[in-house]
Order: sequence, then C-alpha cells, then structure tokens
Amino acid sequence: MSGKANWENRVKSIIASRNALSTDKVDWKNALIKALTRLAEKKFCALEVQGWVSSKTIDGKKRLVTISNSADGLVGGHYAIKIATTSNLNADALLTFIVTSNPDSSILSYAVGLQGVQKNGDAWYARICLDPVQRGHGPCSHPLLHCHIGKNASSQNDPRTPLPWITPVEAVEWLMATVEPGLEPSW
Amino acid sequence: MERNSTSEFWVLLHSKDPMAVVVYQDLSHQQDLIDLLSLLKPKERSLIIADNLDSALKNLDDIVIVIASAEPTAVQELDGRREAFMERTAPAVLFLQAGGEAIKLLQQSYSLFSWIRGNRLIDPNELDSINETEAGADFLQKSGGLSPKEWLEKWRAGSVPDTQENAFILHCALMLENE
Repeated sequence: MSGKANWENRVKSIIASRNALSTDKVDWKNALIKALTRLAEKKFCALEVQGWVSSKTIDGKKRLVTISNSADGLVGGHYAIKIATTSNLNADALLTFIVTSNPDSSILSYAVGLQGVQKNGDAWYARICLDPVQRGHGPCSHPLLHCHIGKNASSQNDPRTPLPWITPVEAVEWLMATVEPGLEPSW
Repeated sequence: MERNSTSEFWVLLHSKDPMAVVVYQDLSHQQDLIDLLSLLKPKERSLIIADNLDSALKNLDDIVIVIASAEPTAVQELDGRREAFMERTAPAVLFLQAGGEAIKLLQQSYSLFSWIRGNRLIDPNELDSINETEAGADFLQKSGGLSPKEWLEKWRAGSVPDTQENAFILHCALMLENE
C-alpha cells in the first residue's frame, strides 16, 4: 500500500478529527492549563505557569491561546516556559505553544515546541505543527500534522515526521513524555 | 506588561483581596470562567459556589464564587454591607452579566464601584480582546511590510521558510486575516 491516495486520506482523517472538536466545545486555554498544572505539580515547571496561558480574540471570532509575557522563558522574541531537568534534557529547556481555534472550538492551527540541551551537550528540539491548510509540494513531504525534530529550531531542512491526529494538549504530553518517561500519562 | 484575564485571575486567587467582580457574557462563558477559577485556585484553599453573599460572610477563608439569581439585589446588598467583607482572607468573586442591570447599578453606586475597581473588577472580554490596529501595525513589522493576507498567500504557496519564527507569525496572520 503506497501512493498519493493514502497520503491524501491521512490529510482527510486529520481534517475530520480537527473538525470533530467543534462538538466537544473544548476551552483550549483551560485544557492547556490542566496539562501544565500536572507538570508543575511534578516540579517540572513553576506553579505560576497556570497564570501564564493567555487567550486573545478579535470580536469573539478566532481565538489565539499562547504563553503570556508573564512567563519565565524566551525563545527568540516569544515567551516560553522553562522546564526543569528531565531524564533526557538539562534544566531550562523551553516549552512553547500557540493555538488558533475557531469560535466553535475546532482547531485551525497549532504549534507546540520543546527545545533544550541533552545530557551529552548536544542541542535538541522538536516542534509539532498542525497547518491550517495543505502547503508545500504535497502531503508526503509536508504532512498537514507533522513534527520537526533536530538540533536547531531555525533549521529549514529537518524532516517533517507525519503524525496521526493529536490535540495540542496531547502534543505537550507527548513532547514531555519523550524527554521524561515518568510523565507517561496515567490518569 | 500586557494584561490578560488568566494572569489577573491567578493573582486575585492567590491574594487576600476580600472581594472581586467578574463580568461574564453568557451562561457558557460563566461556566468556562468557573472552570478556570477552579483550575487556578491555590491547592490549600477550598472553593465554594454560592447563590448569595451570605456564604461569603460565613466562609471567610475560602474562595467563594457568588452566582446570584438576582444580580442587582446582590449589588445592592454588597453596597450596604461592604465593611463586613473586609474580614475575609480569600477573595469572594461576584459574577455579573455584561450589559445587565447589575453592572449598571454597580457603575452608578460610585463609592462601591470605586472600591471594587480599587480591589478587582475583571472583565475577561475586555482584557482578552486584541486591538486590531495595534496588532496590525505589529504584524507589518514582523512580516517585512506584508499584510496578513499577503503573507498568508506566500505561506500557502510554500515560499515562506518553515521555521519556528514563521510558525508564530502564521498564527498572528490567521488571527488578523479578514475572511
């Protein structure tokens, strides 16, 4: 089994999952605060993290959920959450996220990233992106939902690993469990 | 520092401010805000949801959310018994509907309004609204002079590098794009 149709079917499946969120009426700000609270309770970030998730809107239309300027980390010119030492990364790794949702709570697009330094001194980063539409040359080279994995967040040449549907909250869980196996969800 | 409702709520719930007013839009928004306050409260504090102000005077050390069935009456009552709330060591949070009679009454009760504003009056709708003009000007700086629509056209065509910085710009463009 291979070929264009399968790649296109994966895109359709992700779009269907993304649109199905409209029936769940998820408040993405609250959902992300819950995930971050679990990290804070296990001492992987400051407890104040709960107050660092902002949600902004224009006339109640699309909603942008991201990390506010109260946060303790910076990536470029953007605010980030500092992560304490994990099994795989040294202290002060940086977690970022940005989510744009529609008024019905379905997700238009998101990016969740984690970057830091491994125990051996090598840089490490991963960024999961759900694009709003298919772009690039096609769904094989540029899957709608993908993860950049590499050493440099500014790199343009790292492969984009295709992902099955995951929400931005699950993206945070996945990235954190990747660097700290003790954070495997158990609830 | 840019204000937003989450940080305002977090600071409020971790303070000893005796009283705050929260403005909600509709019942769905009210429920989202109750859920948010429940998430943000300090672990060591209990949170009580009450339908009258008496509960806030009985449970001085707990966070008390007051969802009054008659909001204007609650405002009048608060105006008359304000001093009694000064004993509280955790916030009581009175929910009032935007544009309702109770908010108008609060604004007309000058002394009470001034006290609440001096303590806490949190309107998430106002705090979490993006100023489109300011955001548009900020976007032009980040995008090298391209409008959100022009930038998105380039992005969709695949001619914008797939970097972390551009992932942030993408979301700003999506917010500002006029459909």
